[in-house]
Amino acid sequence: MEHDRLIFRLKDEFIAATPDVWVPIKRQLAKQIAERLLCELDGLPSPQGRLLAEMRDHVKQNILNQGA
Amino acid sequence: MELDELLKAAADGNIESLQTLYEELRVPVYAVAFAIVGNRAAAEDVLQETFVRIYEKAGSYRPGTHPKAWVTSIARHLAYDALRQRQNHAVFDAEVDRISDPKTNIPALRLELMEALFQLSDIERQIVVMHVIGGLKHREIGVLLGMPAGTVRWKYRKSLAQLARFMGGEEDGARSSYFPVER
Repeated sequence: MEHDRLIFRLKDEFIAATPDVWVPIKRQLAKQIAERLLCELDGLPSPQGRLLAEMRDHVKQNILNQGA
Repeated sequence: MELDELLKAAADGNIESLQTLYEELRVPVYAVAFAIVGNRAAAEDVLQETFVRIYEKAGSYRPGTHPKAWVTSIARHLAYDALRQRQNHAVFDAEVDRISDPKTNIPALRLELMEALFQLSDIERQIVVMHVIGGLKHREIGVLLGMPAGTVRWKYRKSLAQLARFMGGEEDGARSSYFPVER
């Protein structure tokens, strides 16, 4: 077999065989970026903390309303 | 956009540049991975991991220092890691997976070339793939493999000649199992 033909066939074989994995790559990168951002935020804001803050604000508002 | 520029943009966090880079280099990266691990699924994992790693490490790439060779180096390292893991888990059966394109459905003849490729030594196979599919120069391959460019050139020519023989035809192209010629 001529070398040129062999080279052409090799290229052809690998082009046909190579899978498209762009979507999983993008998904993996998105996950890593999200994890890094969360680390920079020093973890997720605690839902409990947010709830407590809302309750505190609510109570504060009630007190203010009663006092008015 | 040149590969250098794409890598720089990827280093700045540009995913679209990484995607362009992926489209440009996914075939050679897969080919190198497959040449090392000899298994489609494992080569696919290496392909995926290589581009994740490129995105992470693009900042360490020095512009003007052979971007294809840099990417190939990452792919080779990951492929050898994958190979070690497969061997450690005792699932490596040294069997070359069947390669066929379901769309064209021409598996029988397509397999022969891959089988022939795996008759070469590990290094010879990588040299052929890096030069033919990756477009790397013999000098660049020599740097990656730690051997002189002349040796790479010699091994490349010898490997092509061997491949031609393995494919069932004489080197001069008088007969080929893929393009049969009546005698």
